[in-house]
Amino acid sequence: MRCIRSLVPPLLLGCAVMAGQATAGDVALHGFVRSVLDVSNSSSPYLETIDNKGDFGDSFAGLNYATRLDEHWSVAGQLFSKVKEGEIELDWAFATFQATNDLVVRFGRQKYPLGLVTENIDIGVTYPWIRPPVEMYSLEMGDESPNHIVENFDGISLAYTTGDEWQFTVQPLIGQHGSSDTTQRKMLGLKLESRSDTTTLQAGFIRTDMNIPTELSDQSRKSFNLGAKLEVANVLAMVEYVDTEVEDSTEFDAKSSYATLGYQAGNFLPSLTYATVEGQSGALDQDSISLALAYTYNPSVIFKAQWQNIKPNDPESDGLIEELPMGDTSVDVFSFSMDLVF
Amino acid sequence: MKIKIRRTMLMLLSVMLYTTPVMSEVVIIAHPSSGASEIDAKLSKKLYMGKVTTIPGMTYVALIGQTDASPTKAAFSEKVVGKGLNKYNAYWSEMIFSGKAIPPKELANDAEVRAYVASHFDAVGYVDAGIVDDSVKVLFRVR
Repeated sequence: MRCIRSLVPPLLLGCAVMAGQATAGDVALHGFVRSVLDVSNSSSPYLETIDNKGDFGDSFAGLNYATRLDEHWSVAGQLFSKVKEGEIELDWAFATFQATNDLVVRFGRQKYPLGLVTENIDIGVTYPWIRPPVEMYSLEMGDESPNHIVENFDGISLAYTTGDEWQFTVQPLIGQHGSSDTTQRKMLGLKLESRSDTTTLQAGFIRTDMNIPTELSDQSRKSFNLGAKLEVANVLAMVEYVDTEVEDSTEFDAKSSYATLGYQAGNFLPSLTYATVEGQSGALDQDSISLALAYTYNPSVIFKAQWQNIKPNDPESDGLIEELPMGDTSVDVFSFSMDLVF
Repeated sequence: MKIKIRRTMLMLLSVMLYTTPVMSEVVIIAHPSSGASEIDAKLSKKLYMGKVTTIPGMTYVALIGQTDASPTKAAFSEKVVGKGLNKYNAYWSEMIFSGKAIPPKELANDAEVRAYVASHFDAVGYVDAGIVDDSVKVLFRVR
């Protein structure tokens, strides 16, 4: 997957460039840490590891470097390590060619761009929840989770931006994604985004040829998303919808959406979120309601607490719970986290 | 009694006026020999949000900012970028950790920024207007 071995060439390239051309002032090193405790009221695991014994497995850290080479070129990369996976992985590493102030071309491994928070999915200081709604933002692929998002892709993307008060960005991309159990080749996508100081509107479409050993071979996968984020006065509102279909395999089809409403009161941001996922197979279908409270301790540190009620919405479904105990209709998850960036 | 209260309030007021930093103006500065000319509010905002990497007269800009502890950074993010410090930092976290932009190099205070810009031909930074001298030139000024 995002193995350290694949990081070596771009890192060496970056280090060589940093040592040879750039001044110390041109090198930027940053990082992020999340420590999270999840505990549920059930002995049956939610998201594979969260049960009534408590779990720190979703904690992680990342290290990021970036350097400008000249007026047009820069390189950047990010390492990532998650407690429950126990290895250092390459999140992304790419070179950027800034043709003009409006036109950028990126080459290499990049964050998957569809979705309002996909590109900063691990950066808790940028959103109100402890983790983005898994109904839409689950990174696992296959029949045990929604099939919308992957971590990254290897390829080329172009971003053209125009406008002042409202900025419009058109971002076509071409590439592929590979992991230990899934590959997506011939990825073609288009992201359209419009941003003002208070509003972000986004629409995107991606198609790939999806391969899962023994299950799928070069099946066309199409994913379409819409999203809006509004920050007016102290009110935060977010809503997203994504629809993914895999040719000749309804098992992997899914529609997901969520809506979040929050209110910034000083350093506190309470928010309420409703999220849902429905698949053709029904196996994953669930709804969840979350109540989260984020406290900004300082511009680099945020503490959060969250209660989430997860309810499978199909009699045959356990949702993302391993096996809903007999007689139970839902599971409650309580989470506490600290996010730090430096 | 009333006189005592008034005296106490006047003392408190004078202490507050003495201890509260007065942020008159924030200015964006460059090296006096750089080719940069004056920029407007929109371009200043785009520059410090990582949306542009060049300005007229400078094809390479080494962008300089200040650390969170600096009162000038808080004033700059409000007046120029139009965001509070927490939101400005959260915005840059999005940019940094997706690789979309390289953030400003952060120095501790106005004096450090002025000294850095005065000694680097390609540097652009922001400082409180009160510290500006002949070693730098002003590109943008906001009250």
